[in-house]
Order: sequence, then C-alpha cells, then structure tokens
Amino acid sequence: MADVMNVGVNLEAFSQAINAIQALRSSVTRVFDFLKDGMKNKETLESREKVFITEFQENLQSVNRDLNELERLSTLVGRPSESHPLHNSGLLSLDPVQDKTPLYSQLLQAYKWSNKLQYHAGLASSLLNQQSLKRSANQMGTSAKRRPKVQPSTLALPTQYVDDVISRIGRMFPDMSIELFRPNGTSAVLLVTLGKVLKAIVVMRSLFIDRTIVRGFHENIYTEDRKLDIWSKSNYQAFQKVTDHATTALLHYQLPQMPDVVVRSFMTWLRSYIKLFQTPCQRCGKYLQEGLPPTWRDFRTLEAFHDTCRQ
Amino acid sequence: MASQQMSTNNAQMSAQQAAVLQQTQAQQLSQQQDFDPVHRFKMLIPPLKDSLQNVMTIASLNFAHNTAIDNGLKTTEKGNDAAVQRFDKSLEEFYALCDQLELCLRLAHECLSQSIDSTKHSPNLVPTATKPDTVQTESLSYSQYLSMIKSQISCAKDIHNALLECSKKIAGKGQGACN
Repeated sequence: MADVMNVGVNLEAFSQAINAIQALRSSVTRVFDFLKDGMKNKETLESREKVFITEFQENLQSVNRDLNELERLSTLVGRPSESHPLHNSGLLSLDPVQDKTPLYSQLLQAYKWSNKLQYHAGLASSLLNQQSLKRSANQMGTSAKRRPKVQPSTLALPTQYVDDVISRIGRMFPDMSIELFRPNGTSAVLLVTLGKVLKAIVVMRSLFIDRTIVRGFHENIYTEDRKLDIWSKSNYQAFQKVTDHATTALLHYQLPQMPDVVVRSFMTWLRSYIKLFQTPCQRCGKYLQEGLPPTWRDFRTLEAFHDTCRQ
Repeated sequence: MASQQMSTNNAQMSAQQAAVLQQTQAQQLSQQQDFDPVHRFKMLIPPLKDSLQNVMTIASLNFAHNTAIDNGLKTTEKGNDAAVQRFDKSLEEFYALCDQLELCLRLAHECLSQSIDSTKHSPNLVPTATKPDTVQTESLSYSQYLSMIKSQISCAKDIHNALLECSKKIAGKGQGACN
C-alpha cells in the first residue's frame, strides 16, 4: 500500500514539474517582453521609472521563484522500478511478434479506455445519486433477504413530533394556514389554505406525504357526510395541473432519512403558488398559454413557467 | 622462463579483461542514462541554470552596450560590435533546454502512468531471463500473461460494445418519445 502511495505522489510530482517548467519558460519570456515594451504613461517621470523598476524586479523574482520550484520538484520525482520500468507491459513491447498480433497498442488503448470509463462512471454515479427517485432507505449493500427486516425508524414517529413539525412549518409562512386532521387513527391529513388562491389536501403517513389534492379556494373540499374529500379532482384544469405537479414535487424532494426536510421543502415549493394568477411565465413572459396560467414551479428556483414552456 | 611467460600472459589477459569490462560498464551506464528520462531530467537541471545565467549575462551586456551607444560614449564600429554576443541565440538555447526538459517529464509521466496501469491490471510480475531473482510463488509465465491480456482486451471490447448499444437504445427511445 505504501508503494501505491509513493507512486501516486510521484505521478503528481511529474504533473507539477511539467507545470513548473512551463511557468519558468513563461516568466522568462515575460521578463524580456516587459523590458522590450518599456515604461508606461504616468503623471511624472519619477513615478513612471519607479513603477517600471518595481514591476521589473517582480518579474525577475518570479523567474527565481519558478527556478527554485523546479529544483525542488526535481528531487521529488523518482523512477518507479529499475528492473521493470514499464512493469509487465514493457515485456510486451519488446515482443518480436508485434507485427502479427498488435497486442501492445490494443493493451494501451484498453488501459486508457478503462481509466476513462471509471472516471465517467464515478461522475455519472454522483450525478444520478442527487436525483434518486427511491422512496425507501438506501440499502444497496444488504441482500434482498435482509431488506424487509430493516424497518426505517422514521416510519414510527410519535404523533406529538408530527404535530410539532407541522406547527413549526405553519409558523414559517404567515400567509399559508395549515389545519391538521386525524380521521383514521394516527395518520395526519393537512388542509393547507394558501392565501385566497388555492386549498391543498395533503395525506400523510407519519411524516411521509402520500398524496396531495389541490383545488381552488372557493371549491368544496368536503364530502356529503362532512368529511375531507381526498379523492375528487378539481373542476378547473389549472388546479388539476397543479395537483400533477405536486405529485412530481413529492417524488423530487424525497429523502427517506430526513422526512421533516421533505415536508419543509414541499411546503416551501407549494407556497410559491400564492401568486399563481399574477406571475407571468419566466420564459415567454405571458400570463396565459392555452388558457392556463403558469402552473409549473421550478424545484430549485421556484420560478413560474407554463407547462409547455418549462422544457 | 616458461613460468615468467605464463605470468606475463596472465597479466596481459587480466589487463585486457579489465579494459573490456570497463568499456562494457561504461557503455551500459551510458545506455542506461540515455534511456532513463528521470535521470536525464535531473542531469539537465544544471545546464538549464547555466543557460538562464548566460541569458541574463548576455542581456545585461547588450543592454549596457546599447546604453553606451545611445549616450554617445561609443560608436558603432566593428571592433565594438564584435565583443557583444548574440542575445537571441542564447535565448533560443534556453528555450530549447526548457522544451527538452518538458519532453523528458512528459515521457516519464507517460511511463509511470503505464506502469501504474499495468500494476493494477496484472499485479503478478513476469520473470525474465536477465532478472531471475524476481521469481515468486505467484509468478506468471509469459504465455499465461499473454492469454490474460488477450482476455482483458476482449473484455474491454465487449464492455465498449455493450455501452455503445445501450446508448443507442437510449437515444432511439428518446427520439421515439419525442415523435
């Protein structure tokens, strides 16, 4: 393992040495370019000469600094191995049957391509992990047998904790009122009234948001027997689209380990609809597109777009 | 008398052998030095410093000479001009040394990265005739090494083709969705 560390340090030292020799060449060129260009215009001759001498000294000192850096790096670089300078591939390059089977060049191409593949796979993995759509805890390491046994601890939260989180979020936004109901046991149902624009019914399971129905401010939200109607759609296309976008937002903000962050993010996103009919589209600048206001709100910037303008 | 001749011959042979050995060692050393970019890089650092010092010295002499001519202390005669050396020639020499150093470093960097890749993909060393001391319990023979890298190259090709087909399917599916 120490050898690998040394080899890594050596590789970095070579890159730094290449940069150092280029810096030295550049600084020497800069000295003579500066000397050739001469003095610049100043108020008095004395200040002109002073500035020229100061900059010239700085250039000379940078040459000296770059040379010292190069000398320091020359002591750091070292050969990997005297007996095998190219490891096993060196033997392959000396093989006399190179003309028949071009294994050496193919091997080098395979090595470089493999390095690029690992690098790009690492980038893709980090990018895709940011936009994960998984709703369960991330248990890639465990096998399928053990997965159902590990219950996420955030599913069994006490009701008081849920009430505290909801009330705390309700205090964050004064123009958005949140009423909490518990029609069936411990699961919470929220009635979110956003100004005089819309009303949203949020069905939760512990602190996980399962379903969201958005309706107009003046629409009826109760069934015939005076219960919250969590199934009927809105009569207006605008609020039907907002309901669809809310379902998408739930998937986007999903974080199984931090459900309170999810609820807060979702409520922050939902609050951006308070000016649903007064905000123009950020792309086309219009208020109505196919008879609908901009119903889409960007997940990161909360900007308003029409459904047909957002891509 | 015969013993004296024998001892003389032995001395001559030993002297010749010593000379041959020295010559061989010198050749090997020079060959090794020529082929090693790191050693060559380290050997070129002092000439680079000398070249930079030479550039600065010649520049200062040229500068002083031009100043004297501008102030009227000297005249543009052949005798005076001959004393001043060519500044552009020394600067080009410095640039050539810089480029040579950069080439040595790039070559060493490439060799080192290739060695690292080879160590990663085939950890066991292949013993050679000139260095039999590297034979270990897990050593590979050269034919085994050849078969291993052939399979590695074919695996890389298979992965490359699979990824290419996957990207084509994704692109085709995207186009289908757009249409």
